[in-house]
This record gives sequence, C-alpha cells and structure tokens, in this order.
Amino acid sequence: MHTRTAGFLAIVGLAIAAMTAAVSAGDVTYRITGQGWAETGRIVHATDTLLVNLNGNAMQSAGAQFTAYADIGENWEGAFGIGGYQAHHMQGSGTVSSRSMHFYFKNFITESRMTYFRGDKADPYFSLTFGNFNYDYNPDIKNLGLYLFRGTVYPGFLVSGFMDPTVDQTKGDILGLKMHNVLGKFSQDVIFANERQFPPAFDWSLGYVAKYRPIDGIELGAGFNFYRLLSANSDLTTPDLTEYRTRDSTLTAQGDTHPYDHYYTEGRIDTVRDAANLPIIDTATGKAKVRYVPTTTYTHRGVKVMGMASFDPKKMFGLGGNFGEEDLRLYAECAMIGVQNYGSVYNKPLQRIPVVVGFNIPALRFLDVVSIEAEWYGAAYRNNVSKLTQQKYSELPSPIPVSYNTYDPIKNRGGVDPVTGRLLKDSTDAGGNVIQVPGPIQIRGTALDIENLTQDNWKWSLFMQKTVRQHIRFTAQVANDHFRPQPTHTKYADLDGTGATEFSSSLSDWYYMVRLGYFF
Amino acid sequence: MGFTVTASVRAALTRTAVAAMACAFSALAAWAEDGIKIQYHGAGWIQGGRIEKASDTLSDGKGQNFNDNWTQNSGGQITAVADLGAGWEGGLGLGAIQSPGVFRGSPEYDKVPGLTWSPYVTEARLTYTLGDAAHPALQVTAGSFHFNYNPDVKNLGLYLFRGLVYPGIVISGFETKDVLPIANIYGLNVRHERGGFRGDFILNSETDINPYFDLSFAYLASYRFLNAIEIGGGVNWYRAVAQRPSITSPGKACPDPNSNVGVNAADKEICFILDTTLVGGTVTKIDTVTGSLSGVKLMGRFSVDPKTLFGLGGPFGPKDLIFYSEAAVLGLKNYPKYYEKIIQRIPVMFGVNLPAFGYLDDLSLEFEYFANPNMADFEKELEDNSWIPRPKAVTEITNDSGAVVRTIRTNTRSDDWKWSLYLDKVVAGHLKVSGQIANDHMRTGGFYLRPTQSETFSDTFDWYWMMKVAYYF
Repeated sequence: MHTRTAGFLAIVGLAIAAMTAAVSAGDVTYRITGQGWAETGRIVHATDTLLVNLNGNAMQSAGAQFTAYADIGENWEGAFGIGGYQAHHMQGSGTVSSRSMHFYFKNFITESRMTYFRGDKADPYFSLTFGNFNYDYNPDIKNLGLYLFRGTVYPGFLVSGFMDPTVDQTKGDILGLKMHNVLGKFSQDVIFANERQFPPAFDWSLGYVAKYRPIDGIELGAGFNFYRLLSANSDLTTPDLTEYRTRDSTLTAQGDTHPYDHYYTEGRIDTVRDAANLPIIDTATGKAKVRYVPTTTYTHRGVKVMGMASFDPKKMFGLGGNFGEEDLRLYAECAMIGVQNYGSVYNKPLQRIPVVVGFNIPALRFLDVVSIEAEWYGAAYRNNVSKLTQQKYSELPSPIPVSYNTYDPIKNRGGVDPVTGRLLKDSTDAGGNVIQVPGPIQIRGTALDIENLTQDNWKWSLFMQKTVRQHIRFTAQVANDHFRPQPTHTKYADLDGTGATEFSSSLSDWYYMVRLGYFF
Repeated sequence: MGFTVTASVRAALTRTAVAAMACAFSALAAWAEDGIKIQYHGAGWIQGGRIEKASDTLSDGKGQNFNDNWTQNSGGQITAVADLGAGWEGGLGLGAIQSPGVFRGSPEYDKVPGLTWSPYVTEARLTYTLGDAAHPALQVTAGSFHFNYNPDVKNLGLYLFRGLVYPGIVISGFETKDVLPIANIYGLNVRHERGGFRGDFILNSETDINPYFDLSFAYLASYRFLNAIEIGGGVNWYRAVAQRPSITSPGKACPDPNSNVGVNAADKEICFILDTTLVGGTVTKIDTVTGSLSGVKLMGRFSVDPKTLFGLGGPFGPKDLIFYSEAAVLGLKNYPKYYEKIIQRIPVMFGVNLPAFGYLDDLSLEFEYFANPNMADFEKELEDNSWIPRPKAVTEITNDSGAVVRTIRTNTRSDDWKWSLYLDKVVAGHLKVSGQIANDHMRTGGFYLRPTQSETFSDTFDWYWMMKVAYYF
C-alpha cells in the first residue's frame, strides 16, 4: 500500500516539476472570486421521534469563501481558496440535552488544485487536474442523485442535502486526480479519488464517466467507480482480523439474531473435530469444543455502476417561447451501489439500485430553475452511518448497517449507545431519586422496525434558484432527502460535523431551506 | 408566563417571512444586470494585556485567581464589499483570532494554556439603499451584519442588543465585536432617515447565547439637531418569538430539576423560582414562580458636542469634549426574590472624550452604575437555559486544621460601579494603536476552571489593561 501511495505522490511531484518547467516567471495573472450567504430553514416534519425529536427544529447559517485563480502560462491554471461558516447542533427534543447546542465554526478549502489543459480553457479537449477540486458529472442534479462519487457501497449510504458541496461547483469535493477528454460529441473523465468523508479514510477509488450527445437536446452517460480499489489499510477496508470476530461469533452462538446485528462477518458454529473426524471434548466442561467459522467476510470495497440521461425538448424540437435555459429539461440517473451479491445483508440487487428522475418546471425566466426531483431506493436499512464512525470507540468501521432489532438503551447504560450514539447515564430528580436511562423501546411497527424500512424508499425535492444582477442569488429548497442533521443527542456519533442518522424515515417528512447569497 | 407568542403566531410569522422573501425575490427578478465594483477591507492586529487586580478569588472555587494573569492574541480579517449598482451592495468576509484558550487562573494551576483559533464570518449580507447611502431614505440589510446604534461608546453600554434580560447580564470588554466591523446581528435591518431623524427596525435571530434562533424585534429612533446634540431611544422585545417555547419559557414542566453548573450543584431553581409565602400569617408555603428568558428592554441615550454647540475654537480633535450617556431597563416585569425592583435592572453609563488636541483620536473616560443584586454570570443560563440567576456563592474559610472559621457570601454590590479609559490613534492612515485601562464586564474563566462566565472584576478598584496594534485598509 505504501508503495502505491509513494507512486502516486511521485506522479504528483513529476507533474509539479513539469508545470514549473513550463511556466516562465512573470507570466501569472490572478482573479479572485467570493461567495457569502445567509440561510435559514426548519425541519417541519420528522416521523421518527423515538430517539430524538427534530420536529420544528430551526436551522441557520452564515458563511463566506474566497478563491484565487491564477492563469499560469498558456496551459496551466491554479486555484486555491478558503471558506467558513457558522454551524450548530440541533435542539432535538428541546429537553435537557438542548443545552449542548452551541454554535461552532466550520472552515474548509474551496479548492486547491492545478489544472493543465489543451484547447479553450472553458471547454478544453483535454485537461488534467490534481489536488482538491469539484467534480459534478451530472449538473442537472440539484439535490438527489450523483451516486457514483457520493456515499458508500457496502452499506450503500446515499448522500444529499441542501447545497451539498458536490452540487455547489465552487467547493471541492474530490481529492485526487481528474483526466478530462472531449472528442466531438463524446466526453470522458477518469477520476482517481481519495476517501475523506467516510471511514475508513484515505482509500483510493478509481472512477470513469463517459457522456455522449447524439443530437442536440439529448445526453446519455454512464460510468463506474471501483470504490476503495486501493486500501490505505486493508485490515480496515476488509475487517477480517481474528480478534474482531468475538462479537460476531457470540451473536452466532446465541442464534436468532438479525444479520444487521453483526459487525464484520457472518458464519456458523462448527464442532471442532480431530483427524478421525470425531468431536474433541473439552475436559473442563465435558462438552464438545466448538469454533466460529466465518462464511462471509464483509468489506467496504465494491463497484458502483451508473447510467444517466438528460432530455431537453426545447433544443430537440426547437421550442420557442419565453422558456429559460433550464426549463423543461427532463433528466434521470440510476446506479447499482455494489454489483456483487453476498452474505445475507447484500443478497438482493434491487435493494441496491437508487433511481432519481428530475424535471425542470417551466419558470419562464422568472426563475433560473425550478426543479422537482423524485428518488426511489429500496435499501432495507436506515441511512445511519454510526456503525461506520464507531472506530473512535475502539471499533473498526463496520460494513454492515445499523440494527434496530434489539434496541434496548439500558443494555448500554454508562457507555455510548451504538444506535443513537448517546452517552447514556442515569440522573437524579429533585428528590434525589435515580432516573434510569430508558428501558427497551418498542421498535416493532415503527419506522425503525427493520421489517418496516420501506417507508423511506421515496425521496423528493423541490429546488428553486434565481440569480439577479449577475451576483445576487436566491436559493430555496423544500425536500425530503438524505439530510443528516446533527442533533444534540447524536453528537457523539458525528461525522465531519454532520449527524449519523438521516432525519427522514417516511414520505411525509420534510424540511425547507432558503438562502440569500452574493457572489463575484 | 413571559413574553412569548403562540404557536399559531409563530407559524404565521414563518409564513410571512417566507412570503416576504418570495416578494423580495420577485422584485429582484425584474432587475437589469451589469457589472460590479469590489472593495476589500482588511485588518490584522496583535494585542496583549494583564489583569492587575481581581478581588474575588473564591466564588468559583479553586483555581479562580486571575491576579497578574497575562493574555494576548493576534488576528486578521478580510471583507469584500461589492457595489452591485442601483443601490445594491453585498458584503462577505472571514476572520480568525488566535488566542489562549482560557486564562491561566491561580498560580497553583498555572499550566501552559494551548492556543486556539476562533474563526468567524465578518459579514454575509445584502443591502439595498434608496437615496444617499450615508443618510438613506430607506435602507434594507439582510443576512449577517454589523449594527452599532451608539458609536460614541467605546466599552460600557450598548445595552439594547448586548446581553440578556432575565438574568440581567451586561456585556463589555476591550474592543468587542459590537464596536468593530464584525457581524453581531443575524436577520434584518430596515433603516429610514429624514433630516436629523433616523429610525432602525431590527429583526435578530439569537446566535450569541442559547437557546438559539429565538427572534427579537427592536426599533430604535434617534434625532440629531443643532449639529451637536443627538438623542435616541429604543425598545427590544427580546426573544419575542421562541424557537422552543418550552425552553425559553419553561413553566413548571422542568426537564431536569438539577443544575448542570458544577459550582452550583445544590441549586434547585432551574425552571421556576421557589419563593416562600405566608398563608394565614403563620404557615410558610413554597410558591413556584414561573418566568421566561424573554423580556422587554428599553434604552435611552444622548450625546452632546459642546465644541459645535458653543462654537469652541482651539486645537481640539473632532471627538474631543463630546459627552454621552446611555441607560436601559433590562426587563419591565418584576419577579419575586430575584427581580423585585426595576431600579436594580437599570444600568446607566456616561462618558466623555477628554481633550486630546489631535495627539490621540479618542481619549474616552466612561463610567457605569448597575445595582444588580444577583451574581453577574450566565453560566447557569448556558448550561440549564435558566432565566433565574445563579445563587450567590458561599465559600467556607478553614484554618490549618481544616475547621471552618467563617463563611463568605459573594458580595454582589461591590461591583456596581464600572469604569474604563480608552485611547486610540491612527497613524499613516492605516495603522491604529489603541489601549484601555478598565474595570468592566470582562469574563475570563481559567485553565483549571471551565469558563464560568463570571465577571472577573468584583470590586470597584479591580482593573486590567490592554494594548493593541492594528493595521487595516
């Protein structure tokens, strides 16, 4: 692995050396762009209130960013920038834990990249970019979709939300390398990306996207992503270490467990036999010795494939009228999140295929775009990444979804609850009486029931945007998407400032956000 | 109890806000497009100072002794302001301060505090101005922006938007964000001017002190006449619309009857006051008094420039001799036990710019009187969302053999007077040197202590000094 990393760094070093040689001193021009915004919104309805009640929670943020672009010679461009915004925890149920809610500041790198290009800089026929940059292969998408480079494979957690960095093309979402090539109506991109969002970190993925415009108004595309092709630490990417099998072997020995209860493997309990195939008797117990034999080892590695299409009837049929540039465009994207069936968790391919369809409702230039998107994804588990993030609690990131089947907070009293991430401790009331952590919560029949996790299969989003005076932008969104707020209750399971669990568990859940921004 | 509004009103306000944004959106849509002009404003600074005397070394427990504590920080910020034409202006910027995480506190716990970075957004706003930008007939600003209604104030004052109502917390310090070009309001400002009159409506979403996102509505008016006298007043309906009414005005349904403030564990008055009342003249009964973090602030102020008023000549600087004052009522409503007298909720400050004859730009001496009988910290508010003050600390003094020889109850009246001497001078147009010697509402915390939000100075003769060198453009 270290050899692979060193090889990559050598490539980068050579590229820098080549760039340096190509540029002559005094040949650099700069321009600076900036963006500032204030946004506010509210979670209007959240069905699942068993663990934390987000109904009515307000959201608010203000942020700013600067990026400097440098034209370095005829064929090189560099960009770097910084930004930051105020963020906060959710108030949750508004009970005692809401005191944990404080504002904090998140800073980020907008871009940090070098690009070598041939042809027109705005539309080069060849370019090579390395560093931290934005890559949005499907700019029609306003919220849902972009499955190829967002989210994980096993489990197939999807990512979306209001102004996610992937759809905000001024913010870098890929760290690595991109090769772009245009051949007439055909274009292709090779992406070599380093994993930074989800543990285990620093694995390398290799992706490819090809797009073709057979006629004006139609675009077809497809791609694949060898997710975590190169591991930074293969023991983390595929957790097959013997010392981590204790929990799975105990569960297997207990029997009657749900596959989501496991962490890294599935297996069976075998009797230990001697050379004559006779059971070996444990002299201490007088019973036959048994052992745990893994039959399936789960891995974070997997392959995504993606198909996309976009249809613009205005261009195809030469429609006149007062339509805006984005009006009437119909688009779709689908993916298979993991082409391999395995184990009892990932044995149904249809549950790994998200599909999004979007349509830009005619705004007749009154707005830049009014986009409605709908998504179906039949994954039979909640979009809860807390089992991925538990490595901070001496666990390896688990490639198996969270189980709610046996949820019983009292089991974890005094520690961190693996489902909610809450620190569970008893308290006392005014009379000095001990208030214990809650007992078992009735899961069956609720949105958390693993037998009932189809209520969140449909997602939807209505997105609006208008730019005026070329520099003021109003953006609004009403949606039921994969937004993971950071409630106070789940702050222990946070991931890069976001919460672990998607707020939505049913079709009726929704939130809205409005943003007023200015940019130059 | 308290000044909160119903859920239906909140919903109506939300709908109104969204509708207003939609209307604004519609109006924006009609604009023509053209280019912009961008101006960059930046500042970088270093500052340092020392607490020379802090009398109270007991109320917050061991570790609280800030005598002779040094502090320092450095920082920088940059803001881009774009003239978008046709009366529109946008501002965005970032800044960061590097400082010790906390003060060191007592020598026995004097370890090396780590440096921390505190980044912030200087502003993120859009402004529309109708008429002259300096004296607009109408000006609307939305987003995160700076608002200072009383630029005479260098340290003490600015009560209308700084601090809390219940408990009545007053905030000040050396060059806080309220007197620098750093955003302190998140929401909306509608300004209108006519002649010497200026009116400002402010809608502010709470971002300083939890519970967050409560909406406050304020209106301020001022009138300037004779080119030398300015009078002003304002009202702030603080936390008028609660994000969570059950937090802002908790009633008797207290989610946690125990205080989470470490030095205050025995405190049982979290959501309501436990008052005693006599029944039939003989029987004492516990009365639970509910209340709210929400309340109404009133403010009045004036400023007089005798140089202009009386046509004084001489080598005075433009700010010399101006004297000014501000007073406020922190909460109109009385509650038993802690908020019984309105006079004890009225801070008053007055200041005068001593003649500096051009050698300094400002040499401001300010005094403040605030007869708050309660502890002047808001850790209990931060931890418990409580509108009730923290109980006065009672410290046991022991002899060498550990026997308690006496107890000390925090004296909350010895800090009624505050004072501040501030000076600054700009040289070469872009280099500013400033300093302050003061006994104000600085809150330190300590290395061993978690920051308690207690005021550092508990006696009139406590003091510290700070110096700052800044470069700006």
